[in-house]
Amino acid sequence: MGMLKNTLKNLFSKPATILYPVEPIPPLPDFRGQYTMDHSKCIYCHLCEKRCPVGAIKIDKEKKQNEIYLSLCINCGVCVEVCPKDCITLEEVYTPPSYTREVRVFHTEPTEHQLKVQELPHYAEEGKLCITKTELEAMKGELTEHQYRVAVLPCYRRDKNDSKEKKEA
Amino acid sequence: MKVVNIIPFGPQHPVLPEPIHLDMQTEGEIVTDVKVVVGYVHRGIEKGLENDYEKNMFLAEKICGICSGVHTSTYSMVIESIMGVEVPQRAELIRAIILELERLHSHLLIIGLVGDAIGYENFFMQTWRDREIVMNLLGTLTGNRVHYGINKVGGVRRDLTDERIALIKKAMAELRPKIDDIADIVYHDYTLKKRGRGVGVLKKSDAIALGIVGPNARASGVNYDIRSTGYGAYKDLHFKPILGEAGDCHERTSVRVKELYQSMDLIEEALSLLKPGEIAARPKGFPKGEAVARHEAPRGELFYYARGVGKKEMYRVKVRTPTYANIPGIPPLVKGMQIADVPYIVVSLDPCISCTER
Ligand code: SF4
Ligand code: SF4
Repeated sequence: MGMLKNTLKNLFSKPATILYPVEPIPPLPDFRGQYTMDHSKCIYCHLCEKRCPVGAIKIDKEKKQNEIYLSLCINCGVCVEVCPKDCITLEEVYTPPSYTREVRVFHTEPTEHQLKVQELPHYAEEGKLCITKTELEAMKGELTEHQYRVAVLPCYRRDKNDSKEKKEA
Repeated sequence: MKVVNIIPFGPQHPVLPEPIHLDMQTEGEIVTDVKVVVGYVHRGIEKGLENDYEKNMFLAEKICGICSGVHTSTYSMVIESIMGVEVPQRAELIRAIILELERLHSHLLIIGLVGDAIGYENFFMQTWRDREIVMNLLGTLTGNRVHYGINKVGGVRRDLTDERIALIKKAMAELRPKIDDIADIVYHDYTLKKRGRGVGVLKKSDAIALGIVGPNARASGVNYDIRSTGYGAYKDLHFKPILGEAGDCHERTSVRVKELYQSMDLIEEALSLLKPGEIAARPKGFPKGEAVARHEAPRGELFYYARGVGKKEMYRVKVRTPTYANIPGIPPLVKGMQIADVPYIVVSLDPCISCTER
């Protein structure tokens, strides 16, 4: 096809591009997207933590909570493969861009969620936590156990019911 | 006294989104001497690879954003030959299919960039639009468009189900007429011919002396394609290296276009050879000993050396990427050329600098 014909054809055809972010990009089928887990099934075997190539998972058996450092996760899917209880899935959604280095905590009893912001260090606001793994570790020494958990919890991923309640409220 | 001007090219240049820097000595419009400076994106990946041999797979993949599949395949091959793992035939074929798809999208990328380098934006847009077909196909087959994460030591992580095979066939059928269009433009278009013929000629003897690899060497008539050594599944596929003659910029692009057809044929042949079976073997113990592995990446020969000392952590992994071998080709090609041709010549060698600096 001559280039002129080609140009004319393209002039009158639909654009090949997507107007992102106005139009969302549909995720591909079988795509390895964002980490999520069904915490109630976890048996704290630490396999996913050991095999994760970037060290994005931290399992705490005593506190019964799993932390995932979303900015570290490379969506490789190794954790999904090794988990004996199939609790982890990579949802078919793109991890959205974010301003913070988000730590998501999966916890079976998310009660401390309402604790006061004043108890946190100055740079931590509820729902807006700019924190790195090293910072978090460093903070752990100076904070009480309770405060440390609060620092992590603003990033707690609300489960579906939780967010529904919020919308209704 | 003669005035010598030094004109910089890069590390930020609109034509080449890769950080390579050339200091060009010029007399008028003619380049008389050139100095190549690299080292802007060194990431220390070789040091980082002194780590758990299984986790390394994901770091090796991050060496390059375009040919990530070939890095993991070569890394798997080197570890497999240290550990003596026998890779199932089905896994080898799946690897070959992924590698050929990768070659398709990498070649489409550079053919487009060649158009971009000479200001032929229409052609650039067309190739990049058609490249999306391959990228999306790879995304569905492997789980990601860029870093596929398909390989593991001993085999592959995802099987090709019947639906996925149907998807490949559909995409190939869709792609073939589009590549016919692109080939027609590359072979017959007046602009591309006029601009590329006789520019940046790499003689066969020079290509051999400088150790140029990949389509650049083959465009000069050097019969050097690692796939003909028959690693992995390539021993079962019918394959003949594509050779050019002229060795100029236009010939390099033409060779790549011919390789697009070759890749599509190889994919179809590999699909016909697929038999049901295992897709991964289980490695036992830890790597002890040393080995080398070579693959034909889209840009040329990719070389891995690895040494393990019976521990989970590797002792050393050395990577030599194709562009590392192709960079010495830049100065002799550029010397004596017009300044306006320099970007075109550099791009026609298909440099991948982040690969090179690891
Ligand atoms: S997907 Fe990969 S990087 Fe992300 S948490 Fe799982 S193992 Fe770690
Ligand atoms: S591998 Fe699964 S069960 Fe084991 S700790 Fe991780 S999430 Fe829990």
